[in-house]
Amino acid sequence: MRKENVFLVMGRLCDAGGVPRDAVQNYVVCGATEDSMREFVGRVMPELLILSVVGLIALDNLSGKIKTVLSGADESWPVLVEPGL
Amino acid sequence: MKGYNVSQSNRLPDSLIPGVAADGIWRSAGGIALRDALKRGSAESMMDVIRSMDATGVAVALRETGFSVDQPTVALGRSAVFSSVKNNLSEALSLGVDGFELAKMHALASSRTVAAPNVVGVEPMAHTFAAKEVAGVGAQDMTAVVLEFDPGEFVGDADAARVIQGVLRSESVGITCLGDAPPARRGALLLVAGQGLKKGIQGFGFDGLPGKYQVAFGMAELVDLHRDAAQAVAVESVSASLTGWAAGKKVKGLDEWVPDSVQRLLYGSVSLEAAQAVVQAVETGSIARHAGQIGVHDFTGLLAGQGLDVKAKTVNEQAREFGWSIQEPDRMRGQYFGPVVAVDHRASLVKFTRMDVLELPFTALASGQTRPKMGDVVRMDFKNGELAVNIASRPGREGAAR
Repeated sequence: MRKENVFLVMGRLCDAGGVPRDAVQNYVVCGATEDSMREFVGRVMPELLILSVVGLIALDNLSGKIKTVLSGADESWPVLVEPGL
Repeated sequence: MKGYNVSQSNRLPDSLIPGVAADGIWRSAGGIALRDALKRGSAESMMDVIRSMDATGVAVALRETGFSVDQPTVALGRSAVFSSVKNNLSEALSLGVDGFELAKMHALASSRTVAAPNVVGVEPMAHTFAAKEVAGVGAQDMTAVVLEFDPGEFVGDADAARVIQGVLRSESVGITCLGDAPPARRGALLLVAGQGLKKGIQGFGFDGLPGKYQVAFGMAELVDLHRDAAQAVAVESVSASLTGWAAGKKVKGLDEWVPDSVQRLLYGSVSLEAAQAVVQAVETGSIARHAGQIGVHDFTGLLAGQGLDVKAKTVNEQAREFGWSIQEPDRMRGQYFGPVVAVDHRASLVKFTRMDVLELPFTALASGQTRPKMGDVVRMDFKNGELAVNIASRPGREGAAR
């Protein structure tokens, strides 16, 4: 499974009247693209209202960027380090 | 820079995990769900979201959707956070908008000034509350609120039931306290105050202000009354559940003012440690204190909705601060003339010599007369016990020398 195929999907199950109920539930969903993934979820869980989709790749890239900035290889964000560390 | 730690651990609770909705804006999961529920106008959907989160999660979700919550309120627990936004939240829900859009609508509405209800001495308020019905002024609300008692089910004294129904149905009820007990120790008043808090209604008329239950005591005693009412409800709720809990029965319906930690114990299975913890909570008064804090907080909010500030200095306090002497006027033939140098929700002080002031309660004003403001010059003429008040407004005298 590659990073670009993995998505964090937040959703709520809807009741018979189509009203989303209960708590927000996180799902890890794998799909070829975000669009195909949405379609797939709509087919297998039609009662799920998707509230948010975040790709693992976006979160991973953010984590990667923080580390690159820290190493000094990326100077786009300032770095401050508490003395003694 | 001082901030607050939303999450103390390295793992975010599910409701705070960031997500991005169709509008492309990053919010917490709870914030996304709350906004969706508001736009749909579904109360059950919204309440499910709120119940699924703890106090911090609810506060974060509310702030993201445009409702302000202050940190001290978060420390009081989820129900306090919810009460503090309940009125605006339910208005947003009924309109299908979030807090930001609601604020815009209020701003537009307040640019049309609306006169406050027809009460002696009340002038139109310039801020946003003018456009909405002020909580506690509508006698209908309080009547509908307390009418939860079905006479058909009542097995006690029928005459008493009739009297109670009469009180509940009346638009205005004058209350006289017999004996010395403070209001906060009177069962009937505690009942009314407790009901009012639950429904978000301030039902008492005091210091010349309107309200269904007209009382002779002041704001400070009313705050104490509501604090003690919330305490009584929470402590009673715990006491009532103890026997069943000890017998192994499932506890249901604990009052929301019972602290979360005690609720968790009582909703769980009984054990020696749990019982000791609950008993300690009752005996040390921590349940009462927690509920009392919520009662004060919620009641302060209700008063604020009427434009009243519990922390504002009374005219007596202001007089002490400036060293003025509050005089007793000659009610047979006294004539006094001078500027208004202090105002509170109930009265103003008129300074007629360098250090002497007279109290002018707003109840003494004629119908249709607006309350004098700081700097206005007032003439008070007493004749055989009657008082005539004449007020000359002085525009541009804001901040005149006291």
